[in-house]
Amino acid sequence: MRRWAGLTLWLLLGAWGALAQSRPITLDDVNEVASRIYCPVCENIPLDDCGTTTCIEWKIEIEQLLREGQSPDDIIASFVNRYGQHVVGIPQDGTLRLLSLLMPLLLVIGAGFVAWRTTQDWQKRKNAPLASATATPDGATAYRDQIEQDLG
Amino acid sequence: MLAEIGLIALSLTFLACLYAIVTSIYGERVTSEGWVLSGRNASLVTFPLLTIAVLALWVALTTEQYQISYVWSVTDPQTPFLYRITALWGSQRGSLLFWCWLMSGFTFFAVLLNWRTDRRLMPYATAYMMASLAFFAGLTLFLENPFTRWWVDAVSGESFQSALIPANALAPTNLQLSSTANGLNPLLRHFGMIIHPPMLYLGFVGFVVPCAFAVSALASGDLSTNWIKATRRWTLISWIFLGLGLILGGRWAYDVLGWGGYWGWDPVENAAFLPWLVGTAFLHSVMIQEKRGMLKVWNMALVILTFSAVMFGTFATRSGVIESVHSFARSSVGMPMLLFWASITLISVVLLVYRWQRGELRDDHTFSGLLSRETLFVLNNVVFVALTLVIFWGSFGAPIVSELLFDTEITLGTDYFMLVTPPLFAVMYILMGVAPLSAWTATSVSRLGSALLLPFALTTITLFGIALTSPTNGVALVAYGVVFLAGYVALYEIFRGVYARTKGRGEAWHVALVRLFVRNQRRYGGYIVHLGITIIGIGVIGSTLFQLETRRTLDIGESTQIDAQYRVTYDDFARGVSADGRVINTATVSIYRNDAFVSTIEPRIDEYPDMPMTIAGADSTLERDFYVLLTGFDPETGSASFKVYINPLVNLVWWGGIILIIGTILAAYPKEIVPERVRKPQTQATPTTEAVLNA
Repeated sequence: MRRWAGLTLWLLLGAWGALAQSRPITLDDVNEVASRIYCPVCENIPLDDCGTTTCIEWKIEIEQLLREGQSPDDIIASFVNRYGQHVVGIPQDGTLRLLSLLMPLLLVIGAGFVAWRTTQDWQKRKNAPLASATATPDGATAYRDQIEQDLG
Repeated sequence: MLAEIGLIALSLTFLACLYAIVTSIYGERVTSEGWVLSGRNASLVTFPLLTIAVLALWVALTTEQYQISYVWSVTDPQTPFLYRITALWGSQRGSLLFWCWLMSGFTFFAVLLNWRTDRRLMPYATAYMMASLAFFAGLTLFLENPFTRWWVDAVSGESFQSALIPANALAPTNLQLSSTANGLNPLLRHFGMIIHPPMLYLGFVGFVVPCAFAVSALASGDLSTNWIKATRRWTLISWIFLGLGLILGGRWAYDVLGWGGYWGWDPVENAAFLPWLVGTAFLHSVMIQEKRGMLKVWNMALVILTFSAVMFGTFATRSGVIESVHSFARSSVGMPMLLFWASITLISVVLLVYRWQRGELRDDHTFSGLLSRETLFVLNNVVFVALTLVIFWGSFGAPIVSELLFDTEITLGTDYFMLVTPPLFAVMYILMGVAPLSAWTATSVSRLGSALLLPFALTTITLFGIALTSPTNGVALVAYGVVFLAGYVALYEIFRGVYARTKGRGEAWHVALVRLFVRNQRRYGGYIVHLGITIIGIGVIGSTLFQLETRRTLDIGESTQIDAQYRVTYDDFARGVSADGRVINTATVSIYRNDAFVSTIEPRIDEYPDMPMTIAGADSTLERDFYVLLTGFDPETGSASFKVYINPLVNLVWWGGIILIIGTILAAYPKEIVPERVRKPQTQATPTTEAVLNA
């Protein structure tokens, strides 16, 4: 029932907002901002998709802040200040942002380096004398040797 | 009685697993055939035993045995029969038992079918599979037992749960218990949830077989391609189920979760995606070992990593380490799962390093040319592994590191994944387009270029067509370009094969097509898979880059324009109670396109006792989904708010998924089943397909 009370409140405020605002703030404007914020309570759910009463109240707050002239970035920053870095999809804190985005780059470079080493290794063995390439028995030969050894 | 039957069967399974581990390893070490056979027999008995346990729980669920606490927790007297069946995997305890049963099924058939052909690998492979099964059977038996029952203390009158019959306790009546029974989680009352978990579980548990054979090869020293031959089909089967599970999961999210999309980069979705990515890398790189005897260490590493990713995903989903929509499965099994995951990964890696250091995993052939299929497959593997790493980092790595080092909770969400994954997916599609046209050992730029000419021309024409007929942008055209190129190359390769057969052997087109697929089902099944991935890619680009999302609040009878073409009218609102007790709030909405009536849809909100469910109303065509969610309403006036999505090409995601599955089945289908007259052509002494292609 609380949910419906919240939703009704949301509808009424939405309607009131449409009448009272000095510049038109639509539900789409509100949800554009809300979609960039994760629900501080229900983890991994964007605020615009969350239907809890608390989230509806936060959306009402976003609407009011937009009407007061705050920019979406200001509103998001205020949510980060109040609830922490986990309310945005990429942290706003410089160090955490760097950590989050630098690591994937390093991982891709690392994977590329492994591939480069692999092809380099192939190239070296291609250029190596044939005798050294065939000196080590392959798996099947080693297996046959083992069987012969076992059979005495 | 059912609880006792289930409990005994589960206990015997656990003991049989332990016995099979000990006797298989001991028998192999002392070269005693008797002990090895005894271990095999013990492993084979686990499947029938777990079948009994599962049947006992199923009977309890369908006959409303509420004294069994699991039945009480996932059903109630209003639960329909179908959902009583699916309630087996509706919560942690039942789903763990179900998981054990599926794993025992895979191990049963793997032991039975591979015993003669892969005799040397079987003892250690059996021990590995039984160790995995023992772990999950042990978890189910000791920590998450689905056969515990409700009891009432005869002295204090307090109720409690116990698997064994306690002293001085009475069993409460079924009537008492049924009035307080929970019922199935509303999120799971959907067709997608009926088959999504079994498919995903089959995909997950199936990877135990290839990993077991790989570890067995490392332990036994049989490092030839035997383990690959033994596991190729098992890998493909597991991959099919995992792919199907992911697609069905996406469909379920699209229909039930009410946010207009199918992939939210939720950590648990990602946990299921990671083994698929590594498994896909393995399916490609293993071809290099089969054809050229190269990448032996890498293949071992990939198959170990695939099962490790499966175990990590299981841990992530069930341990409660991540908060998400899947949190229904949280429980106390986290630490044992973490330890098991770490143990099997560590043991496998130690064995791999041991063999590697001894030089027993040297490649059979040397590198021939920088531009070759081998090199492009290595690049393909780099892309898949890079995708795995960056998705793992975003889902688990960064949040854990941030919390440990900075004591700060962070979430890497869609913003992060949409920044880091598209370039890698683009490279994946480019390689999908180029690699099939390159030759083994070496290829020349001019030859590759001339092979690419026709697919490239078709791609260019298609892009012109898109640019002229629909609204688009530069990013979309580039994305469509790499995806279409991959698709046209797959079609071109099939066409070239058919053409070669019709010219070389004089076969009719349809006969040539069938025989082409039968003769090299893996290669051409693979091209069908590439076509499926292409179609999925087109669907993803269309529905991601051109999705329209808007919110409207309307009174009954009111209309609103959604975009230049579409208009909706809110016709009516109804509120009623269904047979299973839910309150259903339905809005009737008419859709018009250029003022012409298209259809009427009914988005609704179902109110369950503990949570509401938002069920979308959708008008679906291949071109787009017109998808409407009822997000709120005023019960007095009927005024309602809606979330409207126009998702272009979204249905191609599902169709592409179906094509992908068909392609995989074609690639994995046992050739022996195909009639000989289809397998073997009538003509003799005719040139081979390759000879004609190379002419």
